[in-house]
This record gives sequence, C-alpha cells and structure tokens, in this order.
Amino acid sequence: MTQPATATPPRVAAQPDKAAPRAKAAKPLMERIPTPILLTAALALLVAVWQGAISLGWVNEYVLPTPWDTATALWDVTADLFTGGPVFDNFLISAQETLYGLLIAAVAGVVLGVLIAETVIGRRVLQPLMIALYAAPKVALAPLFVAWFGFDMAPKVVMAAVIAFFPVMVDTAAGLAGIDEDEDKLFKSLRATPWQRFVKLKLMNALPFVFAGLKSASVLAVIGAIVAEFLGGGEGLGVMVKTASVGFALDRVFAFVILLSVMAFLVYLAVDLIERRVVFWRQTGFLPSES
Amino acid sequence: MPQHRMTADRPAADTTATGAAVHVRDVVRTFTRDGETVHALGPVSLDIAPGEFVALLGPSGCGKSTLLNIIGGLLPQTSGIVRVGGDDVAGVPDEVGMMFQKAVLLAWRTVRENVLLPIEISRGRRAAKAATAKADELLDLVGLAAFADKMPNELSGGMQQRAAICRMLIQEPSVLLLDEPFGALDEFTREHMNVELARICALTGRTAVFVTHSISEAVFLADRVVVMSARPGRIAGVVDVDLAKPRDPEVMTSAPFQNYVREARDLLKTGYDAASSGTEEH
Repeated sequence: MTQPATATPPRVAAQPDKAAPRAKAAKPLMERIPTPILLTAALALLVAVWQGAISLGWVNEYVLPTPWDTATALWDVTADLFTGGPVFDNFLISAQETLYGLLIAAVAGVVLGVLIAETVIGRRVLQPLMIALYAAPKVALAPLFVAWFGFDMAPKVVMAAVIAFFPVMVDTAAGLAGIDEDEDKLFKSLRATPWQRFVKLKLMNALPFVFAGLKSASVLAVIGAIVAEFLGGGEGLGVMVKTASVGFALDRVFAFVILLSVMAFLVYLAVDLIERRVVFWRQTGFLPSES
Repeated sequence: MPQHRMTADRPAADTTATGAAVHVRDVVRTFTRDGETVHALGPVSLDIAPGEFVALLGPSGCGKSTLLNIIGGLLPQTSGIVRVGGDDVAGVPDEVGMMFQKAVLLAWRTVRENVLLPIEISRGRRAAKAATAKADELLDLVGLAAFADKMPNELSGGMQQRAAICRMLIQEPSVLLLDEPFGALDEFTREHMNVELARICALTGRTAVFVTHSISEAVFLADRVVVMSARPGRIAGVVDVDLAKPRDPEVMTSAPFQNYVREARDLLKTGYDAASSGTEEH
C-alpha cells in the first residue's frame, strides 16, 4: 500500500488475470521455494557440471576425480573414521590440535583485546606490534614452529592458535571500544568504579563481538592445524591429505577436504551454540556479523 | 554510604543553614571547544525546598540539562556554589537519584536485576540480593510486579521507564533529578507516566527537579516552574503553580491551569526574543 500511486496502473495492466488482489504477489519465486529444496538443487547442479566437465572431456579425469569416485572415497574414509581405523586416529589428532589451538586463541585473543582497548600500553605499543604480526604471512612460520616444538602436536596447536587469535583480539577490542553514552552516564550517576564499569557494562556489551571473533577463529584454527600438518608432517588429517595427494589419489584428497569442512563446520556450530547460551539476550545471526 | 538514609525519609537537608534541599548560587558553566569559549549557563541561582517539585522549563540549548547535570555532580560548574542536602557537590551526591530520557535498562539483566543495579554497584551483590523484597515492592508500586523476572526487551517503552523509576528509587534518594524522563514516549503514555510520577513523589515526599520543554507538563507536575532562556542559559522567571495536589489530568482544561501555562509561555517568549535579538551581553 506504500507504493506511489503512479506505479500501480502499469502493474495491474501487465498481469490482468493473475493478479488476484489478496495474493501475496510481493514474494518472488526464489523466496517461496523451501531452503532444503533450493540447496539440494544447487548441489545437484554443481555435481552435474562437475560430471559434465569430465564427460565432455574439458577436464582430464586424472586431474579431477568424478563425483562418483569422490563419493566412493568419501564413503571409504567415513567408514574408516567410524570403525576406528587410521582415519579415526588422525582425525582425533587434528581435532585435538584444532580445539587446543582455538582454546589458546580464545584466551589470548580476549586478554590481548582487553589490553589493547583498556590500557595505554596496549593501545600504543601492543596494537602496532599486533598489526605488524597480522600482516606477516604466519604460514611461513611453520618451519620455525617445527624447529622449536618438534614434530608432535605442539607446533600444530601453536600454528592454529597464532592464526586464529587475531579475529578474537580485534573483535574484543572493537566491542570494548563501542560505548553507549546513555549507559555510560547511568553508571557515572551510580558512581560505579572503573572496574565495575568494565565488568558489568563494557565486557557484557563486548560479548557479542567476542563471539563473532570466536566464530571466525573456529574455522581459522582448523586451517592452522592442517597447514601445520602439511608443512610439519607427523600425524593428522593434513598429513593424510598430503599422502593421498603425493600418491595422486585425488578422489581421496577430495574426500578428506569434505571431511575437514565438516569438522570445521562442527566446531563453528559448537561456538554458535555456546554463544546462544551466553549471549542469550541478543540473538545474532549464524554468520559472524561484527567483524 | 547512603545506608543511614534508608530509614530517614527527610535527610539532613532540613538542618542546613538555608534549609534547602538543593542550593544553587551564581553558578556559571562555560565550555571550550576548538579554543573557543562558549558561555552555556548562568549565572544562575536557585533554592529548592525539601519535598518541592520544581520543573526546569526552556527551549533546547538553554542549559537546563547542564544545570541538572551540575546539581547531580555529573558535570563540574565553572564557578559558583552548588549544595545538595547542605554539602558542596563534588561527584554524584549520596542523596541523588537520576533518570534520563531513555530508560537505559541493561539488556542482559531481568527487570528486577536492573532495579537492583544501584545497590549492587554501591554495596555489592549480596546487599543487592538482600534488597530483593524492596525491589519487588517498588515494582508493585508502579504496576510491574508481574514483570520482575522478564527481560527489558519484553517490556514496552512506558514499562521500561517505570522500571527505571524503580531503579532510581531503590536507594531511597531524597532528591530526584529527572532529565526529560518521558520525552521519548508517546503523548498518552507520557501523561500517564506523569500522573504516576506525581503520585510517587507525593507518596514518598521527595524533592524533584524535572527538566522538560513541554509547558503543560511542567505546570501539571510542578510546585514551581523555573523558566529558562538560552544563550547563555539563565532564569527568565519563575511561575508558582498553586493548584491542589494530587492533580488529575482533567485539571489541564481548567482556567487557572491555562493561566499558568500562559504565564510560563510569556516568560519563555520574552527570554526567546531577548536571546535571538542578540541583546545579551555575551
């Protein structure tokens, strides 16, 4: 009803019989299709293009495994995972590296974010240092971590943490910096101490930001762990990907990539669930929106 | 520590030399912005008796909120004397409770926890917990008893402001400083809230300073309407409102009420004309 009057006549004329006056004509077709159907269709299209590219000879099968081969490999890998085979052992190692890395990233990110936002030294010294470190290609540090921490889980945990803690730190600092003037005035009128103002007001307001950072971090931690396994060797899914890749078993590489995506997604989901419990008063979207 | 005030409704104010709950003498406030000094307020002098309801009425930029913030200790005066309850104001005084245009309830606390926030901040979590019954009593007073465990976003704007009233009253302040507390509400809710506020103030015998730019709101609520003019903010005149209390909104249609409104309007106009014609010395 808010449409300008001039826009109405041509619309009516264009669709004389279909435009039943009470029909919800405003909702376009793509909005009306249920999400599961839409996603399945999109996936089917992707697989069709994938298969088509191979069948039509655009891509050699040695370079790109067929969807069927990939599905078979994925089945094997999954079966191995759930029956406690080598995939399971390596999955466990990668998952542990990721979770430890994420945990360290969460603590370090929040602490450094608070220091940057709340202290002069943090703002003037820590912040420029962190920006410089942020700009550095951290993957290049992998050989260094191997030299320092050996071939076990330690260098992978460190890499996961180093890559993942930046968004937590940045978002925590950003969340603490955004102050609501009215709330600030209220706390002043109640003669709150700086500590009370920090704990009871600023930190609470920063929580949605912290979780947005943690969501980004959850995915980055997986990347960090896998990259470190790639470069450092030892055990883990990253090593299995590398082995498969060297053996030119690209269908298995694809299967592992899908498995890793699922793992990253589950970690993300876990953080999202925790957020819903902790930041119960404010429902944010599933995707991190603050960073 | 305001504990000793919990039992005494009329605090030390009566025993001071002036007998005023709020004493403002020759208060001036200037702001410096980009090296330029702006004379925002004063000199202003005003005495408010215990239990009196005073409205500060004026156009935007007349310094009425500045004056309120100075009385509340949120803003230091450039010069002059400000006393609340006989003591010079340095920081927010013990006996002051404040309310702002927005309710400012913390979204992660229930209504009751919001009401208890002042106690939690001044005396800790345990004291706040011990005052639960008192919070519920206040919530009952404003008709929010059933909403004590709700989150603020489940409340309407008017209900949120009522919760803010409870939060202001929880420490039993003897002086209420209200900065356009219902300015963000719709006309009908606002009138309703004004009746409620008047009732609570009369019931508990508190001193109130109420900032507004609504003439009828000022006349309806106040014993005394202090009309202010802008640039620099100063008192253009005072209207003593001699209408029986408690007042019903019906009174607004009466002839005496209309006369007070006219009187206040004339004072506002004189002040406004003087300010805009640039005859002020500043």
